[in-house]
Parts: sequence; structure tokens; C-alpha cells
Amino acid sequence: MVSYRSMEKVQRVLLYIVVIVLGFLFIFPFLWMALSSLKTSKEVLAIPIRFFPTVWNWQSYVNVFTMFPDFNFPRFILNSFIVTGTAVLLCLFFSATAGYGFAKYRFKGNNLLFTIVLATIMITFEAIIVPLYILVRQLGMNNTYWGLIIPESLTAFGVFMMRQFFYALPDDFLESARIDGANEYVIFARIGIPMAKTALLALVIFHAQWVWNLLLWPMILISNPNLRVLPQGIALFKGGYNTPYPEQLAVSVIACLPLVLLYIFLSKYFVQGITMTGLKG
Amino acid sequence: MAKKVLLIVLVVLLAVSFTVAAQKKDYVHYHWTETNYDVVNKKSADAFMAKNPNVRVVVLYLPDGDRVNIIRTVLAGGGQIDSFALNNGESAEFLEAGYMVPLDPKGFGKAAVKDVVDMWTPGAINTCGGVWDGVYYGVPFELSDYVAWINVAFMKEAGMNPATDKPKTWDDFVAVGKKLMKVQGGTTVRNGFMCNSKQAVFNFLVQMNMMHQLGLDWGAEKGLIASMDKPDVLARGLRTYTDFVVKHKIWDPALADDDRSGFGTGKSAMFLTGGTWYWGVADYWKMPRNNIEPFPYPRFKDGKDIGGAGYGYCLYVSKFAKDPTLGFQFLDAMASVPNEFIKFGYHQPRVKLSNGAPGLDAKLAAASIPYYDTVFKGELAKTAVWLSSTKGNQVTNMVWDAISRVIYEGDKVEDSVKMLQADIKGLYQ
Amino acid sequence: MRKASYSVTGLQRYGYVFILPTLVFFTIFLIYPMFSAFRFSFFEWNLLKPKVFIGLQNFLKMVQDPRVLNSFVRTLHFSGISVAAINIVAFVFALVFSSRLLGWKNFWQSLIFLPVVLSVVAVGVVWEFMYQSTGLIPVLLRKIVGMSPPWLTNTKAAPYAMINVYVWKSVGYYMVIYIAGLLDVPSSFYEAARIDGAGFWGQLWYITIPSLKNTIALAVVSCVIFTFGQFAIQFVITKGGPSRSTEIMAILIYRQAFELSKFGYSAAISVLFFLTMMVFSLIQLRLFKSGAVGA
Repeated sequence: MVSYRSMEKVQRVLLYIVVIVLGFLFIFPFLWMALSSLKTSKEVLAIPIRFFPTVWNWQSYVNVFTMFPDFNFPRFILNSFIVTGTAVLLCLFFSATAGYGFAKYRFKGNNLLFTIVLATIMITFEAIIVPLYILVRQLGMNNTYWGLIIPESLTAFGVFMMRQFFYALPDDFLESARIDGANEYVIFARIGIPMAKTALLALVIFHAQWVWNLLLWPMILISNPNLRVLPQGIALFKGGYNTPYPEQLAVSVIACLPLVLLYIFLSKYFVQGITMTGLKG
Repeated sequence: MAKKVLLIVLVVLLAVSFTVAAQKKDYVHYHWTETNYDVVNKKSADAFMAKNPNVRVVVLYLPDGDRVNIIRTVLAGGGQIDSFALNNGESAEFLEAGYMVPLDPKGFGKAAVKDVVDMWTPGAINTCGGVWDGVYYGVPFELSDYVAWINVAFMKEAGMNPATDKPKTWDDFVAVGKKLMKVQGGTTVRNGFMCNSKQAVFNFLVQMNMMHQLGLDWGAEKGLIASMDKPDVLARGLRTYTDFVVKHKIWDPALADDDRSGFGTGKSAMFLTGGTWYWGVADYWKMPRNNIEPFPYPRFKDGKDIGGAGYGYCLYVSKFAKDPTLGFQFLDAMASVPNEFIKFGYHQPRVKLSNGAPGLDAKLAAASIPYYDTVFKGELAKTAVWLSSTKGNQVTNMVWDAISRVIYEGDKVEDSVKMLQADIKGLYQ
Repeated sequence: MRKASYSVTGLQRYGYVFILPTLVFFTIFLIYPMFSAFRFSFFEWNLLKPKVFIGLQNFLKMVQDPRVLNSFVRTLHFSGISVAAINIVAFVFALVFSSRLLGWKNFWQSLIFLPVVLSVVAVGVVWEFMYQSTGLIPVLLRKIVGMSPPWLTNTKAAPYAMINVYVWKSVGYYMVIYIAGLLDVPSSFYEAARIDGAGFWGQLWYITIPSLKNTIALAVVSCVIFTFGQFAIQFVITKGGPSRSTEIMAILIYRQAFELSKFGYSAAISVLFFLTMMVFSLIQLRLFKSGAVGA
């Protein structure tokens, strides 16, 4: 009879092998992208395929910032930060307030209104893009940051998530604060929000990655090159006849970095946050 | 503490967004992007702004494939668009809807429209799609045609003589393709010929060219509709094209999806959708110019003597421009440097500039474009006319569907033709 | 917990205040445009000329249009297989990557989660290269299995290529949800099961899965909704090709509007799309009867 200890050892080794292989498979495309950004144009398309560049062409990263006068990538990156940052904050605001309202108060139409809000998840963006553009233009918001930010800050999923969270939160805290004479807004801001911190952080990752990578809406709304966001920059980077592949891959790598960093920074809150929203049920 | 930081960040973001968004542009022009030309266009725009200090010009360089859709959306949504570029396959839809302003001679410093038209080669504005209902709208920006290209280095490798062995008929084309393709371990690693395997328009243009050569008039709506009553001819044209993939296997669409980079990187030995500008593209891919040569489109042995598709771009002033005369001045400025563009093989049919100076220098053209006199000029006189229709986009997609059904789904050519007939007839009823 | 006092005071009305900003903005920027789009479906419109009222013609055309049917089937196929694959793989991964035998859990989980934050525009080019006939995937497949279909130009294989990319991109997110769910299962349950002699599979079947019922319900329902609306992968890599074999409904809606300028027809298809999603969501919610909505 094999001892429990050594069986565990074998299991552990097998587990690590599986985990390493899976991990490698999953990040492989990203690695390939990063390596290819350091190749020359011809090498990227070469047959047979090569993984490692023969010459490490760091020039592509420099080119991204210097060679294309119409593609002001630092500006695009700044714009992406502005739009994503504000949209995420707005999203937190909408989700937290609405989630709190739906969860903590019993009023007529609560269920109905919540169902309506939830139903908006099913509205595909492509279907409303034309009426949305016309509307935004009528409001004078085309080619503005707010024209991008406001539609991109709306997600019913966030409302759903925060409602789940606040629903699971026991009412005792609120009760005692009410007895102490605090008004509802203060209770929300000083008690509800801090308790929801991890859930909100989970929502941040979820929404930030959607807004940061969004392409379709900016492409239609923004024609002023000073307001372009990064995915737009990458997509437009495809020339009419030549795609500068190394540079495009380089800027793609750059585009992925902020979110990767954000995730690394927030990852420990992510699992916690989902747990606390009772998302897992 | 964290809350204070958050508040400050929020305020800063808001402040930045307001101040930065406050910039206003006075004039917006929609164009397509191509690295070498963007530089020339930028210089023209800057020079124009220097001459007109009270005007701020923004030129938007968009990917060619998205340009039309973006222009259409902005025009319909009423965004700011003062002028834009369209090719002759695209313009009909917009001209019919009345979105452009007719040519204003004042913008060129001339007295009559005729004086403006005379500044370009005869018929240029028409070929470039800038005429509608007898009225001139467009400022020609490029006039070009597709010729066939072949990699002569590969030819020599296969023991062929570039001077005599270039294909003259479509049958030759197939034979040469078979000799030049390369297969390794059961996979094609070099196509004898390839076209773009994802985009409709390039396939449409080659197919359209074949139909013209077989006597069908695909240059006008009437001719297109009439051709639907000749399924045998349609089938012959469709079969000739799709057999490259299905029967002769000189084209494996899975090898690469873009023909321009494919040819430029040696993944294909021949290609059919390149104009004079392709020299610039070849330079980009570091394909030595000596390795490739253009030649006239193959013909059908019993078909018409028609070359590749002719196309041109025109610049238009939009009806939303606040100052149309200024618009034409700007477009004139953009279209006044043909000798800069020709260095990249980009051909503009400008004969005279508005100030009387000569336009495109013929000697410079011949010198900058290898084979200009021997191949391009001759073919330019025999181009296949690109369909001019307000529903051109849909026709392009229907033809590509017909081709796709055969090469990707294995449909029989006759069945695919039947569906195409139904589609086109349904479109124009 | 009875709170009799609440029904008396106007306290509950504060709820209206809290949900007001969201309601206002959702109505203006989501619901109103949606109704506008529905209205467009009764017109023929190419954005340039004025709208022409044609009543139900778009819908009649849609019902007879083989491309709409194709698109519908493709969407069901893509969604069905993706949702199943994602959830099964994510569940298995959750078990593997939260195992007590594994150190540095966070790091390994992050590797699987990474594709979630990568932009499809950025990574699409890479996948395209990998699937081409001389690209990595066919080359490897030929070495291992001896053959490989031309992934992006074969109408039967292309949908699976898309599913593969989508699963790669999404698994990490659902894995984290399942991990969170697993963490919540009290270890005492497992102890009790082990004492009763249950092995690995017994524990899995009798403890883990039942405890995760709600998590699974939520994950599957939201996965279906998000997958239905998926657009970017097919758009960036195959553009709906080859020969419309990856033309899911979101792409058809886009193409009808922005490539063929048939905004009225596109809107009609989006009505069908919306109704389909609604029906599926309702069916699922009934099926799972979880506390997810209107708890």
C-alpha cells in the first residue's frame, strides 16, 4: 500500500505539470505577439514560422512613437486613460446607487424596474449604434470625451452585481445608523460604499477591460484625431496597402500593458469581490 | 485620505476633458491612409494653412476599407464633414443622394466650369466617378488601372524566360501558375496566383474584368441586369476564376489572406490587383523592383481586348461645408502636386495647375514608374469600366458570395450562378 | 425579518432617488435608441436619403432570407458549444487551480485570466497568423495528428476556430467565479464525506456540484447572454467568412447596416436578435430558478 505522503507527492508533481502546460498554452499568443513585435516586417510573415527574432528589432517600439506623425500614440494612450477612468468611475456610481436602491428599499415597481434595467443587457451595441450616434450628435456630444464616456459607462451587469452584494448585506448596520439619526445618503456613502469596496473593485476590472478595448463606438463617434483612443489607433494603423506589422504588434503590446498591470494590482480583490457579491450564488 | 485622492483625480479628469475637448476645427477632410502619400498630403495641407492663416484644417486618414462607411455615417448623422474622397465605384450612391456640391470655378480662380475640367486629362473626371447627371462634382485625385504582375525571379528559377513566357491568355495564366507554385509536404507554400481571400471588392474587380472580356457590360446597371439573361457566359466567367482554387489549385486561400503583402513577400508568384502605386508597396516589403514585372491582363482567346479594371478617386466638397468655395480651393491645393505623388508611382491625371503651371510631367512619370510606357499607358486605354451604380456595394457582395460559394462551400458553378441571378434580379426589381 | 416600521415612513421612497440617475441615463442612452432602432425596422433607409415607410416588408423579407436563417443557426451553434465548453473547462480549471496542493495560486490563475483583459483587436492578428496554413496550429497538428484542415478557409472548421479563440479568451473569467464558489463550500462537508468513505469523484458529485448550483446557474446564464452578443472575434479574424460560415447575428446586423447601407433591414434583424435573447434568458431562468433575478 503506497503511503499517503508519497501519493500526494506524485499528485503534486502531476498537478504542477498540468498547471505549467496550461498556463503556458494560455499566455502563448501574448508571448508570440510580444516576440513578433521585435521582428522585422518580413520575418513576421516568414515561412517557416519563427518564434524568436533573428535580430532584436527594438526599433519598432521607437517607431511607434516617432515614425507616424498622424498617429500620436501618447495622445491616444492619454485619451484611453481619460475615457476609461471616467467611464469606470461613472459606472461605479450608477451601479452602486442603483444596486443599493433596488436592494435596500421596498418600493412600488422595484422588481419591474430592475427587470427592465437587466433587460438592457440584451441590447446589442451594433443594433443601437446608429440611433445612438444621431442622439449623441443632437446633444452636441459627438467628437467629445463625454460622448464616449457616458454610453460606455452604462452596464446593467454592474447594477446587477451591486444589487446582489447589497442584498446579501445585513440590514443591521443601516438600522443602527438610522436610529442614530443619520440620513439615507450618509448611510449609503459612509457605510454602504466602504463595505462594498471589494465588490466595486471586482466591477472595476470587469468594466475597465471592456471600455479600454472598445473599438466600434469610438470609430463611429470620434473623427478628431486628438480624441482617438488606443484601439482606434491600432485598428486605423492598418495602412491601405502596407500594414507595418512589427509596429502594430508593438503598439498592441503597449495597449495590453495597463490592463495587465491593473489586473495584477487588483487580482487579490477580484476573487474576494465576486465572493462578496454573492455572485457565486 | 484615499477618498481625497480619488476626488482630486476625478476633478483633474473632468478639468482635462473639458479643456481638451474645447479645441475646435474649422475644416475637416476625410481621406484614406497610405504611409507614403500621407506625408505628401500633410505637406499640401500645411502649405494651404500657411496661405490661409484663419483656417484650421484637419485631414482624417482612414483605412480604405472603413472610409466609405465612416463617411456615410457622418453625413447621415450630420457631423462635421467639409470634404471627402471617394472612388468611382463608391460615388454614385452619394451623388444620387445629393451630398456633394457641384464644381465651383471660383474655387480654382477660373471663370467657367469648362476651364476647370480642362485642367485634367479629357474624360478623367468621368472615369474617376465625379460626374452625375451631366454635372461635374469631383476633383480627380488618382486615375489608375490594374495590371497583372509576375515575379520574374521565380520564373527564372523555374527555367522560364521572362521576356517571352509571360501569360497572354487565361489558359497560359493557369499553366504558368502551375509551374510557379510550390508545395512542401502537402501544403502550398507559394501560390501561383492569389487574390484577397477575405475582402469582396478585389475579387469582384477581377471577376468583373473577366465578364467584360466575355462581352458582358458590367460597367452600367442596364448592362449588368441584361447579363443575367446569359447564364452560360456568366458560368464561364465564374468558372474561369474559381477554377484557380478548385480545379487547378494554383491558389490556396489558406496560405495568406492579403494579396498585396502576399505578392510582396513572395507567397504568391502572380497577382492581379496592383496599379502603378504597387512599386511603392514592393519597396515597403523589400521586394527588389527587379524581381517583379507588370504585364497586361491576360485575355480570353476569343474574348474582347480589355485590360484590368480602371478606377479613380475624386475629392468632393460636402453639402455641409460652411464655405464651399474655400472647400474647392483646399481640394485644388491637395490635387496640385502630381509630381510629388508620381515618385511613389501614384498617378494623377492633372494636365495644368490653376496658376497655369504644367501638371504631371510625362517624362518624370515614365522615369518614376518602371514599365509606364510599355505596359501601364497602353492598358489605361483599354480598362474595364467599374460598375457605376447606387447599389454597387451590394452587387460587389453578391458577386463575392457567388465566388465564395464555389471556392469555400464546394457549390457547383451553375448553382452559384442561379443564386447570383436571383440576387441581382431581386436587387433591381 | 419583519420591519413593520418601513411601510409607514417615506423611507422606502429613497429607493427612487437612488435608482434615478441610472434610470435616467439608461433610458436616454440605451432604451430610447433601442426603440428608435425598432422603429427603423419598419422603414427602408440607407442613411443618405429620407426614410421610406415599408411596413412589415423587412420582416417578411427576413423570414424568407436564407442568410438570416444561416446566421441564426451559426449563432446558436457558436453560443451552444462555447457556453458548454467554457463552463466545463472553467469548472475543471477551478478545481485544478484552487487545489490545496498548488502553491502560488494567484500567479497561475492570473496566467489563465490574462486573455480576458487582452484586446481582440490586438490579439486577433496573432490568432490569424497561427491559423493560416503555414501557421503554428496546422504545423503542429500535422506533426502530431498527421493532418489539419485549413482552419480559416474551410466552412466547417472556421466556426470551431472561432470557438477556440473565444473559449481561450473567456475561460479565465468564469474560472474565477467558480473558484469563488468553491471557496465557499465549507471544508467540513468534505471531511464528513471523506469519513464516510467517499473518494474524489464521490466528493465531486455529491458535495461540490450541488453546493455550486447557484454559481453554475449564474455563470451559465450570464455566459449565454455575453456569448450571444459576441462580435469582435469573428469581426477581426474572419469578418464573417469564409462564405458566411462564421457570420453570427451580431455581424450580420453590422454588415447590413454599415456595409450594405440597409439600416431598416439591419434593425429588423436586431429585433429578431433581441427577442431570441430574451426567450433564451427566460427559459434559462425558469430552468435554474435561482435567486438571481427578483430575489
